[in-house]
Amino acid sequence: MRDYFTLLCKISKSTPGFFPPEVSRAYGYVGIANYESVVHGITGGYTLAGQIKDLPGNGLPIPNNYNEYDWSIASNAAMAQMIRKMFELKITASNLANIDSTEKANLAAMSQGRNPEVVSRSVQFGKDISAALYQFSLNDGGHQAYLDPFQLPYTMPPDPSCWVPTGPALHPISPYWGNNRAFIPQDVIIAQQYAPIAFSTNPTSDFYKQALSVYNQVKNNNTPETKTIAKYWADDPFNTCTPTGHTFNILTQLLEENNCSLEKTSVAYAKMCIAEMDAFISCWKAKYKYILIRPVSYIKLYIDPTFATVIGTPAFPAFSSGHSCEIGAGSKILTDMFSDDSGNYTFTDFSQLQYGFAARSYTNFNKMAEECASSRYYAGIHYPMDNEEGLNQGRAIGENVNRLIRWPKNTK
Amino acid sequence: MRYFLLILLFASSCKSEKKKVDFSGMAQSIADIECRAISIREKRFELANDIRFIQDTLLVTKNIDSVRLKLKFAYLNNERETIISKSQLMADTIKNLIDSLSKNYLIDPASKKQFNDSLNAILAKRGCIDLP
Repeated sequence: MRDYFTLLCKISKSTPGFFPPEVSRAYGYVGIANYESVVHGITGGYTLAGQIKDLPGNGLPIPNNYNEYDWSIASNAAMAQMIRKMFELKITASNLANIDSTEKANLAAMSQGRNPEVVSRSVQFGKDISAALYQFSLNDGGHQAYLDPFQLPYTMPPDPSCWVPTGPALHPISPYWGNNRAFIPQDVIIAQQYAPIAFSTNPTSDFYKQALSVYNQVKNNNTPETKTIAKYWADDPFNTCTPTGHTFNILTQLLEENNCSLEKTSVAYAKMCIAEMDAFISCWKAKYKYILIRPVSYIKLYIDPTFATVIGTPAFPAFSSGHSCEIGAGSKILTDMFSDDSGNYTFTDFSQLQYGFAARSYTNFNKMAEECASSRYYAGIHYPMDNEEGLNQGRAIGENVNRLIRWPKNTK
Repeated sequence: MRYFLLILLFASSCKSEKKKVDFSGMAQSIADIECRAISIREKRFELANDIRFIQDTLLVTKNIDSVRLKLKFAYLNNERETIISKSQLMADTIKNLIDSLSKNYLIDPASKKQFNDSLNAILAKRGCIDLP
């Protein structure tokens, strides 16, 4: 199963139209397809049917109690099929071939010594789960959004507080994403609890101070270390599977080094998938409620026209920060799966070595999340409030995923 | 392929003495390609900056002769395609190497940390990174 998440990262970064929200949705459905294909084999497992929005208790296929299934084989079929469907209209021939060969190789290895009837029944069950969840995904608002990530027409209100282009994209990305159906409705409702400081161009205002703080950080206070942090957590130009992919790469590494079972691995991925998809919906709800101008645009207009950020500013409004929201949610899932309430856990994140970054070591998931959130400030692309509130918003979403859904306990 | 052979060689030499893992030797085997990945990453960020500054200029300058800028922009976009494919190939190679090491030797957080410290020391010695 972990190989499919590695593959998902690769496909996300090589398929056109997959911006952070679109990537989080693809991960979202792949993760729950995997979970549902194995949940009936987990002692004390609860299906998500009846627990996530608009998926009724009888909304998914259930296995026949009198028949034997191989849950690894079911998972293999479910994940391969869901990945194909999530990228269906833009997937490259080579990515498709990779999915096919991974599925085939896994099936060959898993089928050894198994009764052919069990194998074929398990494959069919995985495919049925995938088909049912794909059907469920069709009306969530994000179906094939990669074909039109700018969701035009969208009219920007003519207000000085509003986002203006910060690069070649003249329109902001995915303006209606916040209207998508979240897995947990409360994850979107809580977006209302977070608001930016009132916009002002008055140099004595709190808003101006936020922008000035970004300006001073980039112009005077950044060190080689803060610049490295800014780039380490950035959507590395042209080459990553977005912040969601980074968080999943960390999760995969931790699952491997803890030698986790199929059960625990499936639960961890499902939680993370729900948290990440909902985090982007909730964050985008706030982004297009406030449509807040980015620091770079504000600073150039009111502080210093020559200001330049450390990395490019993404083409969507400032508040709240997408990175902060997703890592806030993700850190709560990591804490729940690998630590106690303190979030203490020592690890070295190897996932960025492949992109030419020295690995970074952490001793606590909350601290790691704070570093990720701060990276956006060091980079000059977010106000401090975007990161602080984004982190709070994300953490609340992660808590919701852990507490509002019934999950199997004590998986190893 | 060259890197996989190095790892294989390294792995077979370790098998006879499983208890003593030579993190430094392992780090040596990957330092060369990692150093090149760091250099490509730096080029990626430089290129991204060049592209963004030209885009910024094109956005705000309506009256100056922008033909030269547009030509440069087209050239940099070509460069971008080249660097993407180089980066992705290198990322795949490094990912496979690290996965292979993780599966066989770097099996817990402590060994990963030890390996990483060795790797960083080698990279710093070669001038590929500055240690904080």
